[in-house]
Amino acid sequence: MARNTTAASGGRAKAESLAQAFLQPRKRGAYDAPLTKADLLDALGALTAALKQHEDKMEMMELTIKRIAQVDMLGTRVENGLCEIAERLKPLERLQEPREPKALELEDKENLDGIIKSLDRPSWSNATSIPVPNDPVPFVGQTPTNQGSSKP
Amino acid sequence: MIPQLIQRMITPIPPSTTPLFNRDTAARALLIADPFDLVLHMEQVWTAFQPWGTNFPAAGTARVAFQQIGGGGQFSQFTPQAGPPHWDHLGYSYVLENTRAIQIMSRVVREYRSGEGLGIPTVATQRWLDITEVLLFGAASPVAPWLSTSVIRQDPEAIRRNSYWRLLGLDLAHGTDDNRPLAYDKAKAANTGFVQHFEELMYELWQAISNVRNISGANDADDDRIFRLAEAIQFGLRSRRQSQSLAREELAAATALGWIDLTLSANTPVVQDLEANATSPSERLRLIGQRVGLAAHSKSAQFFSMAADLSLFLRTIESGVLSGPEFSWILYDNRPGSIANSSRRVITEWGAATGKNFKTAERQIDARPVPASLPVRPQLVVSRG
Repeated sequence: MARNTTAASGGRAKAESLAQAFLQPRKRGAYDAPLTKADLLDALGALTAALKQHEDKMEMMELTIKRIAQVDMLGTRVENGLCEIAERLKPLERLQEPREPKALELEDKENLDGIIKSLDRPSWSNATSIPVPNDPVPFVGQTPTNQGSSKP
Repeated sequence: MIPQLIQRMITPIPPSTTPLFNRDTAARALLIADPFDLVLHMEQVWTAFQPWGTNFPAAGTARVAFQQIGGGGQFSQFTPQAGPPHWDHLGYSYVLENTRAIQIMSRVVREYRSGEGLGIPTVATQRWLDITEVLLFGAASPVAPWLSTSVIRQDPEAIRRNSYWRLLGLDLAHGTDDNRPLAYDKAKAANTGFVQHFEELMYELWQAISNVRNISGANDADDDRIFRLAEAIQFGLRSRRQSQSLAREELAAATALGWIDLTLSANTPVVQDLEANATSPSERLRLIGQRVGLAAHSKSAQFFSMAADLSLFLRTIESGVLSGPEFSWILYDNRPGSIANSSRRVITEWGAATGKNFKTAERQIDARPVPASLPVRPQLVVSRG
């Protein structure tokens, strides 16, 4: 908003200075004759011409900005277009020969087999309990063969 | 490392055709093992992997000699051959740690070691406590299982969180034991786009899986998209793995969480001592959590269910065997050699854990690129029950 006000006041100042420049020689001239209607019409004509020039420039700039914006949208448009084409062509996939899975090269097959083997492990799905020895442990002074009884 | 060790123990060693153990006896052997034997085996697995290729060996002469003391320990005959790492991917550790099992077990250890509030532990449980303190909580051992810890990085949990963040761009759903945020070194270089790619891949894979048996009508399987997403995940993971970065941290994490996995796989001695007998790992954990006053994650069942499959899934993608759209079938087709079963399991359980449905016709994933400057919210944060 502030920028627009500044631009407007700047434009007005420019027009005023243009009018001044047109009228100046007459003020500084040898004779001090009052401005005639013709002089004012000339000044108005010059101002109108300058305004027209500015308007043309403005139009050009607007056009340029529009073109830049269109270039920016071009990528999106192309992408959307390609997506649309891909979508329309999708039914043709059925005509394509199914991709044949290729068997692994011997070296790769050995590598894969090696990896599978290196991580092989037993299944514990049916595991219950792991039996471990749990004989009574003798106290100091008892012998292992004399478990559970006191030393005589 | 622990589940794979059990698998090797129940596999016949040529020329014999009979395995030395069955599943339960192998588990028992581990549960009552000397922690030093387990740590020694962890070193043997690390050495077998040859992380630094031909530059130099993983273990020097002295360390190799140390590994061979006493015939190499109880599990040396089950040392794997060179090849891919014989331990789980960091994704396995991440989902299992999200159950809060480690924090619950730390309370169990503290209770047992400091009093009799949980009762008197049996000898087998005492051995479990010894191993747990060494493998999980940095108790002294002739060989430290956490070679990745030092006075600079003292807390194993903080190291694991740092690794999860860097490799997967994810944080755990819980804070410290008393629900405060846990401070750890949060690296700037992190795969913050992982979850987005991963979840979109889940969606695409489900479309493909749904169409595997489809012989007429439109087929929505998009091999090219699957390949591109898998490739993006592979690039992301590998960018954090250059020169085998995070490999040692991954082994240590997989060992710790593998131990938890084994502990809860069956009614093991400690589970029995804690009166937490149940038919599933998540139920056992829930009962143990109740005993020590720390609730397990409400989605623990999903985490346990997908852990092993997620490990294989991520390891496969990271390996680069999926080198073109024509090989996308590896992830979803039912033909021999594919890992479709693991993909299906991960899709189902990850969806259940995060509340996202990858099986609907409409895409629910935001496929816009992740701005590098914005931190990505962890995806597995769901309410705790």
